[in-house]
Order: sequence, then C-alpha cells, then structure tokens
Amino acid sequence: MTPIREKRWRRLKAGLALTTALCGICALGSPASAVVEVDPFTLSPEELFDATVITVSKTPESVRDAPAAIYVLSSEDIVRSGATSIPEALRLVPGVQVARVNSAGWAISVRGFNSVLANKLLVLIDGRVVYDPLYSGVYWDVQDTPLDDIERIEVIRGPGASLWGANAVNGVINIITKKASETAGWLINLTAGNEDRAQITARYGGTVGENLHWRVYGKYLDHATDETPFGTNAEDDWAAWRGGFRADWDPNTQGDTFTVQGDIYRSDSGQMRSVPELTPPYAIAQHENISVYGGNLLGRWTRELGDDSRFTIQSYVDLTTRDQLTLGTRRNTVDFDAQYDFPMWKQNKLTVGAEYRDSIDHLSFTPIITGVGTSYDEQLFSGFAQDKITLVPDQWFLTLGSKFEHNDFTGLEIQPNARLQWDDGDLQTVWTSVARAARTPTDLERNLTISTGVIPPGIIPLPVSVILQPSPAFSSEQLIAYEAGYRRQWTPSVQMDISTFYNDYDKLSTLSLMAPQVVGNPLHIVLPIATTNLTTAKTYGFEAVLNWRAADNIKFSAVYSLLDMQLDGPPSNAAIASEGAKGQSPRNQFNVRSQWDVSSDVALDTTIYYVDALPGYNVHAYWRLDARLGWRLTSKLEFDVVGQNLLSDSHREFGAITDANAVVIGRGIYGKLLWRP
Amino acid sequence: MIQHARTFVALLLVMLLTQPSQAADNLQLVEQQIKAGLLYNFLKYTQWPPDRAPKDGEAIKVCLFGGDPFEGRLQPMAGRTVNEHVIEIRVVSTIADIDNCALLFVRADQKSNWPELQKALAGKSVLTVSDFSGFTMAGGMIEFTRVSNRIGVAINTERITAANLQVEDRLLRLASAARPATSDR
Repeated sequence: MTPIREKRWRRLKAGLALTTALCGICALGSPASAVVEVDPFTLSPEELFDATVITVSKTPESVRDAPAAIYVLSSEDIVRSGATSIPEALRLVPGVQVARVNSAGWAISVRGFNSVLANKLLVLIDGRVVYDPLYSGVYWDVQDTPLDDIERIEVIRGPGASLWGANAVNGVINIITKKASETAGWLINLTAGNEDRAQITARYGGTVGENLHWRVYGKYLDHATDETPFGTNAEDDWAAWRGGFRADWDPNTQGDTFTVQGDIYRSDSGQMRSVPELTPPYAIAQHENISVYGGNLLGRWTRELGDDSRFTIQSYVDLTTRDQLTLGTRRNTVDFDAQYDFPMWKQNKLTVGAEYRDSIDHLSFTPIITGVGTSYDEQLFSGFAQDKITLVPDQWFLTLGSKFEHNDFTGLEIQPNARLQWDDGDLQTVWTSVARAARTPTDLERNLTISTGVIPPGIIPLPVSVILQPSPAFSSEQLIAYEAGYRRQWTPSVQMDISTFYNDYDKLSTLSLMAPQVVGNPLHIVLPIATTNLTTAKTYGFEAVLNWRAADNIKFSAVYSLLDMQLDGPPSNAAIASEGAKGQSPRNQFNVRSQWDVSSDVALDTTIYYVDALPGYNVHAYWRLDARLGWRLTSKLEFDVVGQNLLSDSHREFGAITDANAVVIGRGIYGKLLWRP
Repeated sequence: MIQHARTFVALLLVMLLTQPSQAADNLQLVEQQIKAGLLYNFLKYTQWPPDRAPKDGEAIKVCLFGGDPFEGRLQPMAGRTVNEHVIEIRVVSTIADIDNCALLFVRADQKSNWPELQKALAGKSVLTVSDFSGFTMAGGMIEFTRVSNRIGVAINTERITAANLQVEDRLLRLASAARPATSDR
C-alpha cells in the first residue's frame, strides 16, 4: 500500500496487457481442442437419437462431486426460507455464523472469528469482489441484490480451494444471479410488514433480436427502527434503493457468451454511536447517519472451446462512497480477471488464471479515524494454477493447486492446496484436503489511527484515551487447514453431507498495550495499542447436512454445525481482545426446515433455528422459528405471509449490551405479493 | 396392464440404450443441440390441419413458453425453412401470446403453469413439447427424456390425434423401435 503515484495508468495498462496476453493463450488453445461443429438442423432424427450427449460444464464441478465443503442455497430455498435479504438467507447455511447487529448491520463469518469487522471471508457477487480492503470485511448494507434475481448462493467453507481471489481464508460466499434469459417479462414484488416496512422490486426482461437478452430492475426498501436492549429507540431505521441491469449475448453457436451488468445504489441507515471525549462524561451517545452510494459495472466474455475447455475474461469497476460519523471513504476499484480451463493428456484437468486489482481509497478523517495521508492505493496481482488429476478413472482424483498473490503489504503470498477424492459411482464421495491461506494486513492495521474510547478517571486520576496506532510491522495471519468430508446418497430420497475441519492459525492479530504517555490540554494519558501477530489458535468442528424428501410434496432438511476455538495469546494484561474472538462465535448451531406443498397452489414452509450463546457478549442462546404460507392465486399472482422470530418477543444476537449500536431483534410479520403480469 | 392399449395412449419411449458405442466415431453433441435438432425434425414431420397450417408465405411459429432454455442452440433455427415456411422463434410468457404458435415448447420450470396452458390449448392444433418429467402423462404431446447419455422422446399419440395433428410414421417408428412404455393411469 502506497500513496497514489502517477504510475497508476501504467499499471492499468499492464493489467490490460496481461489479459490480452492470456487471451492469446485462448486463441492458441482454440484450434487444438475445438470439436467439429455440427449443424444439428441438418441431421436426421435417427442421427440425433444416436448422438451422445457431451457435457459442457458451466460450473467446474457439480456440488456432489466437489472435493470441498460446499453448500448451495437455491433460489427456491431462499424464497421458501422467508428471508428478505442475503445475510438473513445465509442463516440456513452450515458453518456460517450470522448475527444481526441492527437493521442494516450484520456480523457474518464462516467457521468462527465472527465480528462486525469479520475479515477472513471472500464474498463475490457474479464474480465481483465485495469485501472492502480497508478492513477486509463486507458492508452488508449495500449487498442487497434483489432476491428474485438470485439464481443460487454457493458457500464454500475452508480456504477457497486455491482458485478464488484473495481473502478466502475461512470461506467463500459466491452469489450468482440469474441469466437475463431466465428473467423475461415483468416481475413486481411488493412486501410489507412490521420490520420490513416495505420492499418493492420491479423487474422487466426482454430480448433484442434472437440472441440478446436483457433485464432492468429497481428496488426500494424501508426497514423499521429497532429497540435497544434498554427499551429505547435505537434510531436505526434504514431506507435504500438500487437499480441495475444485466444483458447476456450469445451471438453464435461457437459457445461465446458476453455479459454486461451493473448496479447503482444508495443506502441511508443509522445507529447510535458512543463517541469518546476527553472531558466528562467521556463518551457521548450520538446518532450516526450512515449514508452510502455507489455503482459498479462488469463485463465478462466466456468462450466454450468444446472438449471441456473454456476461457473467461472479466473486468469490472466498482465505485463506492461511505459517509458516517466515524468513517468517510470514497473507494474506486478496477479489476481484471482471466481464467482458462482445459484438459491435458487424458487424466488432467487444468485451470490457470490471473487477476489484477487496483483499489484506491480516499479517506476523510473523523474524530475516530485519522492517518498520515488521505489516499491509499492498494494493488493486487494474483495468479493461480490447479490440476485435477484422475488417478483411477471415475474413482480416485488428486487436485493440486496454488495461488500466488502479490500485495503491497507483505509481498508474495503462496497459498497451496492439495485435495484427494474418492468417488463410488454417483452415490458416495470421500475427500480430504490440506491448504494454506493468509489473511493479509489492511490499512486499518497498518496505516490508520483509531480512537477506540476514553476510560474515565478512577484509580488513575486522569482520563485515559485508548488509541489503536498504526502498526507497520503487522504481517499476514496464517492458516493451515486440514479438512475431510463424506457425502452419500443413501436412497433416492435421503442424502447427507458431513465435513470436518481442523484449522491451525498462526500470527493472528493481537492488540498489544504499549507504554502510556501523559499529554496535555486537557491533561490526559494516551494508552497506545499496537496490532501484533502474537496469537495462535486451533479451531475444529464439523458440519452435517441431512436432506430427506419424505414424499413428492414434502422435503426436510437438517443442518448442524459445531465449532470449537482454542486461542492462545500473550497474558491478558499485555494484550487484549484477541481471546475475545472465542466468545463471539456460537459453539453449536442447527436448523431444521420443512418445505411442504400442501396442494398445487398452497405451500407451508417452516424453519427452526438454534444458535448457541456468545459468552464474549453475554448473548444468550436462542431459538428462532420462521414460517411461510405461500399461496398461488393465479398463474401470475402469488401471495405469501411470513412470520419471523415467532418464538420470542425479542432477543439479542450480537454485541455487548453496552454497545450503543446493538439492538434486540423482534418478531416480524410480512405479506408479499408477487405479480408476473 | 395390456388393456391400457384401449385408452389410445401409446406412450412410446425411445431408449436407444444400445451397447456402449465406439465413442470415437460416434456423433457427440451438446444436449441442447440434440434437442434443437429434434425440434426442427418435429416441425418437419408434423402436418397441421389445412385450416390451421400457416398460409403460403407465412412463417411457422415456434414459441418458447417461459424463456429460452436452449442456451443459444435453438436460435440458428430461426430463418431456416421447413416445408417451405420460414421458422420464427418467439419467447412467450403469457397464455394470450400462444395463439398463433405451431409448436409450443414449455420450459421445465413452467410445469406449474402447464394445467392452465393445457386448458387454453384445448381445440387448437399446437404441437406441445417439454422436457419436464411426466409431461406426456400430464397431457403433453412430446417429452424429451434423457437415458444415460442419449436423448429420447416419449410421445403421447392420443393427444396428437385429438389436436388434429399428424406426426409422420418415421418419428413414431423411431420411438416404437424401443420399448413401448405403459401408462400407469
């Protein structure tokens, strides 16, 4: 990370040259592996019936075969869960910790280390990275793609199988929207309730000529304000709108697909914030407006080369501006990606790829966050290569791969991965994996000064201002992850999936107290804290999924997640907070859901969730029951009634009870009208 | 079960599960290409009643209900001619739009709309095709099936006759070459 220099344009050109060069590889690969293109309309019925089907894999592997802990939420699962946002839908996923902090704020992580600043997760929307490099976390308030547009959400627990972009330490959440050809015509979604006061989505999809499909959408939401644990108004009401489009063009039968998509958005929410002061009362609870706006534009070209090879290049720009009491940031990101999948000899399936990303952050300093310069430019060069080797056809597979990632803080990070897989026909899969991953430092740790609070005078006669200071020596957090899994189709209607993991972390971030200083006007003590790498941790656990289709019209699914975290750091009088991570992720979680088609027009779906206590925040274990009654009035009109949190008036999910911004989550009821005129 | 023959339902399933073929010289196509090619042959080997057939110089309309699931493989059929009619492909999403369709392909995810579509199609001469499983049992005419790595079709001849359509023997024979399926109705 360096302040911006004039070299930027040169870097962009370098990135372009890189993608062009890789495109050259694609052109070279094409004649070698292309199959003879047959015109199916010249074939007789006899020839067509006799032809064998070749698979052009859109996704590298089907979930059942993947040697990783992967779980897919389908669009049907999302709708039938009654969730009204992406974070809420993620509650269903094994191994994922979801805690709502307030109306527009969530703490979400995979396999532990949950925090409102959770930083070990890669989240992608249609290939666009949405974690913010300032702290490597995700602003969930603006990841608000209409649920009706989402095709599926894939969640991979564990280091991201070496293929994915940076930051896939504990997991990857991959949100994939529907192709424009899947969303033809009108769709109007009107949702109204006590918590989600209004969610309005309008979408229209059309075609130009024969091969170009497009859609546009607009969405508005208004979420009610919540209560604090003390019964006062949390002033966290949230209003947001967004609009966007997607166009897919398949110009020929050569297997080319071009996609262009983009969104613009604005979100206004609020929360209470305790702002430290050096004079009594030393902290003032103030209402904080959180105003965010931005937009993104992405283009992608995929060419299916036949013979199971394909080439993809993708580029996007993402601009976002966030303005709140504690933070002012304007970030511009440019990204180029290229990926080439191809078989080699008989037993090898190779994937190689490269990514270049340049992200520039213009910060406005606030009473909470200050620094030396206001512009921070961060570049990432990443390459990866993976080979899936067939050891015994249809039975034994070995996948070897590595990511080579260069960042401005720690230079080159090599993140290798080995996976072994055994398949028994289509019925069972056993896999095991070992991988290394690194969570690289961020500006928040390396370059910025954060005022975390003021301790009022007591035994020490002066106020003590606790300052998180820049820590240029802070280096990457390290993980070696050992995983194993077993998947089995017991009967045509019963299927299960178990994954277990042992994660060995080193150099985890630790807050170390430095020598206090007395400074003047008003006279106070500054207690500096440095971010160091002094904590190690071992986490282990497993996730189990059981799906049972009891009858044609009823389906049950049960998900259980166990997580145990052992952290080991310096004695607590020399360091703070890192041990707290243990008490911020639930040890046990499960959910059981049923999807019942009562008749062809009526569906009744229920989900029961259990989330264990968070001792770090004194949050109690809670049960949650959500139920949905869906009624198809005509082929064009559907009406849903959904109840959320039906079991209790309110519960807290995250944050200390004294945190000004943590709220209690209440019972929610909403009605939804879905109209496809 | 033999008696079911009297219901005129000859549900014919193509199961060209011949011996594993010599993959080398066997024609290999993407699933959507095979289905697209078959749709073209359905147009070619079906006769519409004179009063419902497209007039001279008119296009023959292939309608895709609920969207195009062919991933671009069907579009090259548009503009080709079959029995001297230019083929026109349209994506339709409402029942009102299906009126002038000669062939209606119902996308698999529109299964729940099929009963209503079927009502609207009563008395019309529209060849209905889909790939949702159970389509012919639910009153559809031609259903794509997938057996191992080949594409087959099940044909409900009763429905075809009821709609005043004639499918040439060549197609039916191909279907009957495999084992005739029994209906469990």
